[in-house]
Formats: sequence, structure tokens, C-alpha cells
Amino acid sequence: MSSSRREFLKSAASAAALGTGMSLAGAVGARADETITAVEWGGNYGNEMKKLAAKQADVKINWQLHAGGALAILPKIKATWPRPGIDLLTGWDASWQAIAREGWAEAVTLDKVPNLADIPQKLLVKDGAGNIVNIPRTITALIWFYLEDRVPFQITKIEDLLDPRLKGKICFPVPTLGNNLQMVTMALHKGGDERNMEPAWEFMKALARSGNIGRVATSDTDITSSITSGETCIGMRSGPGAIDVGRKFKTRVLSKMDKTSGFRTFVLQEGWCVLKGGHTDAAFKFANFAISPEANAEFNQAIHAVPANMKSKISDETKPIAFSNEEMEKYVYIPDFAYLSSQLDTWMKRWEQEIAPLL
Amino acid sequence: MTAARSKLMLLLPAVAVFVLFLVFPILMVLNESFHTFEPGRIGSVEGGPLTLANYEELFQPVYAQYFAQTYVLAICSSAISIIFAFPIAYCIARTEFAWIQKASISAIVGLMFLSSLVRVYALELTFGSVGVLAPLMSIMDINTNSRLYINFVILAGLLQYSIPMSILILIGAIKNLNPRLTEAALSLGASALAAHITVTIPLSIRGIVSAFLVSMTLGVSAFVIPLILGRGRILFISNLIYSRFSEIANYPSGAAISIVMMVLALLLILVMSRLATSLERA
Repeated sequence: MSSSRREFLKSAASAAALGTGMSLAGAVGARADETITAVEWGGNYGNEMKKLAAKQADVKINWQLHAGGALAILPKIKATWPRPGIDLLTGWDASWQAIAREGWAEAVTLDKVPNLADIPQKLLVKDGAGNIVNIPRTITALIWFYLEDRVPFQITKIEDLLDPRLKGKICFPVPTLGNNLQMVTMALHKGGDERNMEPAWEFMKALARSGNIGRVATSDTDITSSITSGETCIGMRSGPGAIDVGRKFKTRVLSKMDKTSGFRTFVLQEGWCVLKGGHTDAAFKFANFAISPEANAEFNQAIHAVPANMKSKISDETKPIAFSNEEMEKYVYIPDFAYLSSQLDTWMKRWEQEIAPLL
Repeated sequence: MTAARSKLMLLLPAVAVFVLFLVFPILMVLNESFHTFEPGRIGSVEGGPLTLANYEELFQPVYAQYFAQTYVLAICSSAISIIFAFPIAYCIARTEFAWIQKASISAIVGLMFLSSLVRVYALELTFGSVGVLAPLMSIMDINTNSRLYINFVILAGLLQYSIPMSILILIGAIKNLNPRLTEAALSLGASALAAHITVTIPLSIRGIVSAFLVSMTLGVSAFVIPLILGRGRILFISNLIYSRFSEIANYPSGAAISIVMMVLALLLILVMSRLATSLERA
């Protein structure tokens, strides 16, 4: 048997290519057993979750960050479904509703996530088939706050936001940020609620005309940048973010204000959802580890939030967003998140049509 | 016949890429714009009825304002950039020293590499309501919180792109211009200004129109500049499109705005090209 030099090189190249392909396939297979892709928020959320992940060796994580609010990633998932390339997705009440409607979540059970037994049942969101879609890790609140040394008087009621001394000092979130709870505050104060938002739109028009809104925030980063740079000094955002600002600036948190003041607080939960079709077992394994009493306490202490696990300790710093049953009655409003998420399109268009031109 | 076929075959890969990456996606967007959207869901309803509602809502006067706001600022930035870019391009194109020309072009190209975020935040840190120049603005009684002022800062942001781009386009146009024509006008008794206005500028009109259109394209499609410098109070069409697609997941509405924006841009290009042709003939 004779063979030319060219044929020899050709067969050698083919064998090498085949070998490389097989070894790559093996590597991918090996990675697939233990590596998941998780989408996390930036800042201290991401940093602290990475620290937590480093304390376990069972699951390796390829981290990705949210760009904007929790809802901004949903169109990207839709575009790539059924292979979104994401196993573990962070979100909150608002995004769970959309995910439940789309049927993207792998059902969460006690078998897959045993630590779910220590999470209040009230925090669990179910899809149309009655399956649990979320794994809560944090209880937090959306609260109003301001920098005391930048506001010329003490703010006591929501009508104070119209005061001419606050020209350009308010950072107001766009309706898609925080599920428009900022306007639900106004509706509640003026006799409406999330289903009757007319009073809120009227107040919002007056606020837009007043010239007191200096920036309309489209992300949490916008709020942080605007308030910490001094561009504005009054806003509404998630409790951990406000507490974090309070570490560097003299801040007054309006989370426990009398109902007559109009400043209401909204309690919500953040956590994970495991998307179908990926490395679901590994994703559940990591989520279960991260909501264990110790891990959940450690993470939430670091981000200044209340742990979802009932057995976890609560830090003193999170007192402004921790509520007793009596305080829940007095200060907190829990809206119908499913309804809110179905109204965002209408509210955003109304914002463009009636509010933005007045700003 | 064979030569023509060969040319066609050579063109085929480019045409295929063009169709696959430009025409096909635009057709997808067009198709999406006629679909229905169910609030609370992501994207259009699969198998739902076709509708014109996504276009109808854009007939509300307020959306005309958004289009006008975007196009007026983009046209202003294009016009201002031509005014500033032409003399600079003329000096670079007509300089006697080759090294000055090379260095200038390199500097301008280098400027284009600077991240848009860096440019935008540099403007924010300088002209923002708490920027370095804020005390000066206060002394001059300029309200940095006013809509007019925010428009001015956005315009400054747009000029950061359009001026270098216009200079690069105009250098080519001016270099292609025969300098002897201007010299002939001067030798026939025309003043330098008259020769410039009646000879140099009319002969550069194609280049000027090209620079204007490219600057306008950059302006109309600007996203980061109005997003950050507009403080969420001044919205460009691209911001509305982003909001529709990414924040409320209403693809059909976002697609309809995109199609209207594209049609308006094509109309503008048509008008500008006609104008350039008639100016050249005149």
C-alpha cells in the first residue's frame, strides 16, 4: 500500500480535526454538568452573589448582568426562545408575572429546592397551571427618600413635591421602572389605586408642569447617578439602593410615613426563576444553596435587604424596610402585580402622550 | 455575455449578504408592525389578526412632536456641522504641507474612535446642571433645568459626531475640486469671497449634501446622546423605539415607529438629492 505525501497530510489533518472535535465535545459535556449561566443585577448585588457562589463548588456560574430593569431582558429571551442560553434569571414580582404568562419557567418544587420550605408561601408566584415559578431570596421595598441637606425644607406630604423650591430636584422613574408604583402612590393618596389611576395622572401633570422633575430615570443606575451627583435629591427606588445612598449622604427615608402624607411603601420580593431547557438541575442546586438560612442572611445583610428565608437573621441597617404586622397595615401597600404588569404598555404610552411633553 | 455573467456572479455574494442582513430583517420588522400586541405579553400575538392600529396611534399630534423634535435637532446639528466643517476641511484639503494634512486627518479619525459614552459624560460633566460650568451659567442667568437648555446640550452632543464626519467627507469633495477654477474667477476680477461663494461652494455642493445627509443620519438615529443628555425629558424617536421593544416588549408598536422613521428618512434623502441636482444645474 502506497500513499502520497499530500494524502498522508490530509488524513493526519482529518484525524486531528476529529480528535479536537471529540475532545471539545467532551469538554462541553463536562462543563454542561456543572456550569450554568445566571443573570444578575450589577453593583453590590452582583458582587455579593459572586462572593456567595465562591463558597460552594458544586455549580460553576457564568455571570451576565441585567441591562436596565428586570423586564428589559424578557424581549431578548423571547427572541432566542427556546434556547435563551440563560439558566438562572434574577427578577422580582413584576417580571415573574410575564414569565408565568409566557410559560418559560421550570416548575419549582420542594424536591428540587428543599430550602423553599423556609420561605413564606405568600411570596411564591404560580403560573396558569399552578406551578411555582420563582425562588424568593430577598424581601425589599420601594420607598421614597431624599437628601436632607439638599432640600430646603422638611418634606412631610406628597403635595410638597409641587413646592417651587424643589425646581429640578426630583428624579422621577419612568412608568416601566418599578412597575409604575411611583404613580400608584399618587393614586392611593388621591383616592384611587392601581385600577383607578386617573387621580395619579392629574397629579403627575401638575408635577410635570411645576418644573420640579430634573431627570426622568429609566434605570436604577440613573437614580443613583442623578442623586449622588447632586443633579437631583428626591426619588423613589428599592430600599437597598436608598440605604446605600444613606451611607454616604444624609438621607431621610420616607418608608414609615403616615398614610395621610401620601408617601406609601410597597413591599416586594426578588429572587430567581429557572428557565426551561437549560441546566435546570444545577440551577436549582445553586438556588437552593443560596437561600439556605446562613447564605441568605449573609447576602441580604450585604445588600441591605431583608432575607426571604424565615430562619435567616435580619440586620439592623435594614430596619427602614423591615415591617412588623402592625407596620405592614399602617405603611405598606401590596398592589396586584399581575395587573400592574399588564398595564405597563398603556401607562408608558400615556406618559409619552400626556406627561413627557410637559417636562 | 460571459463577461456580464461573470460580473453578476462576482456581485452575488455581496447581494446575498445585503439581502440576508439588511433587506430580510427590515421585512421582518415590516411584518411585525402589522401584528397585534396583547398587553402583559412579550412581543406580538402568534397567529393573531393583522392590524393597522400600530400606525394609527402614530397619527396623534404628540407623536408628530417627537418626530419633529428629532428631525429639527438632527437638521440643526447637520447645518451647524457643515458651517464649521467646511472651512476646516478646506484648509486641510488645500494645505501645502502633506504632513499637516496627514496629521489632521489622523486626528479627526482618531476622534471618531472616542467612545460615545465618554463624549456624552464629558458634556454632562461640563454643561450638566451640576457640571463645571454650572456656576457660570447661574451668573449668566441661564436656567440649566429648562427644556431649551437641555436641547442645546443635546445639540452639542450631536455636533461631537457630525463635525468630524462632515470634515472627512468634505475633504474628499474639496480635493476633487480643480483649484484653477477659483483662480480663474479671481483673475477675472472676482473678490476672494465672491469666488468662494460663486465657484467653490457650488462645485462642492454634492459633497456638502453628502456630509449633511450623513450627519443627519447620525443625528436622527442618535440614542445614547438624548438618553443621557436629554435627562429622560427630551426623547428622540430611537428612545421611543427602544422603550417599545425593550421596556414594554410591544414589538409591533416599535416596529411601526421604525418603519415610519425609515420612510421619513428616505423621503428626506430624496428631497435633498433633488435639491442638490437643481443647485448643481443652477
